[in-house]
Amino acid sequence: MPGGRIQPRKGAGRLRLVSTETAATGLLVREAVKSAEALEQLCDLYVPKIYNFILKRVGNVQDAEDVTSIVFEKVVVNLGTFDESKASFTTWIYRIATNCVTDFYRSKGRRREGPLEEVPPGELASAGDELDRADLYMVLLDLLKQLQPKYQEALTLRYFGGLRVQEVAEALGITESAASKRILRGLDELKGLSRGGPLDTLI
Amino acid sequence: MSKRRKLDGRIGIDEAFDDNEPMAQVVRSLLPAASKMDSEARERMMGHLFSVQRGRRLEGPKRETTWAKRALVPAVALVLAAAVLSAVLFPVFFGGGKTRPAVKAQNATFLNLVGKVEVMQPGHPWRPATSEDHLMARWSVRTGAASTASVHFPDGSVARLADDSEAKVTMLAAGEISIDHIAGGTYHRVHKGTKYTVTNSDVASHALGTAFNVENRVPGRLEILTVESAVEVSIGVHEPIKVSQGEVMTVSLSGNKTAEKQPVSRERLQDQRLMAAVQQDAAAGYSTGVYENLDVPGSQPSSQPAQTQPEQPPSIQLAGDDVSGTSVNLSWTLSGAGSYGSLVLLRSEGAEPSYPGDEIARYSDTSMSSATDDTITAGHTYQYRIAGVPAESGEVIFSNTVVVDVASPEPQPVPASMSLTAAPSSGGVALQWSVTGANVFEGFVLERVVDKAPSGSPTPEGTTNFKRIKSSDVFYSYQDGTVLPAHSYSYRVGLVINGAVMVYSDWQQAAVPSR
Repeated sequence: MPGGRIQPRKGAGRLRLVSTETAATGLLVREAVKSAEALEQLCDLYVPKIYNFILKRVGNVQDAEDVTSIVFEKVVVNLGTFDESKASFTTWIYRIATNCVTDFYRSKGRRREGPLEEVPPGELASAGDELDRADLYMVLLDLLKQLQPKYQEALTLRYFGGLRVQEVAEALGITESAASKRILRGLDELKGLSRGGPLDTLI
Repeated sequence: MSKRRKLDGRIGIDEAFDDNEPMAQVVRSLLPAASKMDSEARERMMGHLFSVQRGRRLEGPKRETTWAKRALVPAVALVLAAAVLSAVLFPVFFGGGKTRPAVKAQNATFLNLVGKVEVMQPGHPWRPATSEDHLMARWSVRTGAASTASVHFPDGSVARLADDSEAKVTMLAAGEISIDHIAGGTYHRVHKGTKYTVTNSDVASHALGTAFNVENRVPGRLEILTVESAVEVSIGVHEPIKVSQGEVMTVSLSGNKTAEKQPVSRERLQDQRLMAAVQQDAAAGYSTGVYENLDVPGSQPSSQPAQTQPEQPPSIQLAGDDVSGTSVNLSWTLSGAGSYGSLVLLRSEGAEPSYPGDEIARYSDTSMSSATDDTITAGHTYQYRIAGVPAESGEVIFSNTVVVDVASPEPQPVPASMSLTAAPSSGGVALQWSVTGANVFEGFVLERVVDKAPSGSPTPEGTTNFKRIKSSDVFYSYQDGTVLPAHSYSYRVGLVINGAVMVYSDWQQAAVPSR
């Protein structure tokens, strides 16, 4: 791997390849424990990613801001315990974000509301039963919530977080092979739930 | 299904293994575009994170070493076993065998209640305080005119309220006490080892084993005076500033916060209220810090100011203010018996400026009394001092340190505007838009006009339709699936604020091909 350095992984017989970018993040993380400037830089790097990941999962700005804030508070509180030999910072923070979203839904016990408000006669939608993309996305979120948590986590990390399979595996503490199987199984389950519904026409 | 390939000598999953999965394609196609977190929300979050970070730093590392853990576990187990055995054998010592809570709630008590002192516990109105009260977290205390009270915490720390003062205990736990200073003057004698924080507005004073006074009797002005040891004062998200024994920091709470730190004056130390608190400390056997180095006896503070004032030593008084993020205005006055060859302006960030390393300007004309520093960067915090340098030999005299928090420039308000794209797609016409210069709005109105239609069309040219779209927070897009083949349409989108369309995008055309 060009530009990479090799770092032994604790408690394992294999080597974990660490890119220079990962190494730089590791340095930033160590600095962020005590330096406000480093913390700000770390947040510049990760707030957009995590905020979007959460926004895609919770579906509205207010909740996404609240959950993002909780995630980063946990990050700051636990920075000292982060061990880069066990997982990259990216997978660590996505793990925290995943847990926080789960907690959010558990504590609120909430269901999403459709974002669109259909209105008076003589308007564009008069002819259509067809749902627009936003509504379809809400349908997707509802279906995702019906999946077993392990599939929800794998799918959202992969597609909402845009993580590589290896990162999904690290975030979930499973092997890459198991992660890919979980993603495929999750997709199958989702497909089954979509059958006969609005998403069926898209598949 | 999953294709595997060799990668750097190990088995890896092909990243494109799910590309051909129809459900994966659906999920990806429905994902909304990336959004940016609201800047105000982000700033609020960052402020909170810096405060958490500071708290963690003050707490210090909590991890024990492995050997310590190994030693601790059997030791704790042994103590617990002994305690359980004792409880079984000697129930009398454990309340006759009754179960007691493992953790006793922390509470504080009143001492020296003088005059009108009231307490308020959560969910109750104010009522007179008594020496029987056991204060807990979220209780408030206030004193009236010519009234005082001392709150004694279980760790030995004491908060003394002067007259016309109010404070609220926000946290009361083993090793950690937080107090909201709300009004008047509060004096704090902090037990060594306790994390003790006094907060007013977003100014927090952190102490570990010290004595200090917090006062805000002048509107918009907060004063932190350290009687013994040192206090770290944090203003907003900025780095904490240390206020050492014998120093006083004044924070202007209005507008852009500015702070000024200087040695406490003799006159201030002789303030009746402050001396009354120090007197109580002395009576309780505490050292009196800055009072011990003065001829003002802390243990027997005089109620009368000294009749004769000694000759004033040379001093320089500096004041500074930020001018809308572009420059800092500084002014100073010289007093006492000083004579200087030059005045040197010192500036630094993060630490008190020192001479000569932090020199930014030198004035041989010592009648100069002001300067403007326009070499600043918005968003930074600067500390300034003036050094009075003697012409030949002698001691360099320093002014007080002025801390100026240079505000970030206010972003220029951008008039709200909208942009729209409209493109024919397999499902009709795909519309996407964006909003600039407005954060709070209710939604959008989409307007469509038929530009061209074949004869006999159910929607002839000029037909106009509207659709109101509630702000979805996630999507600024719409798929118009109600278009007809061989028709041309014009679209525009309006931004709805307070029920009215405030601004429209330009019209965009889309021609739907014939089937």
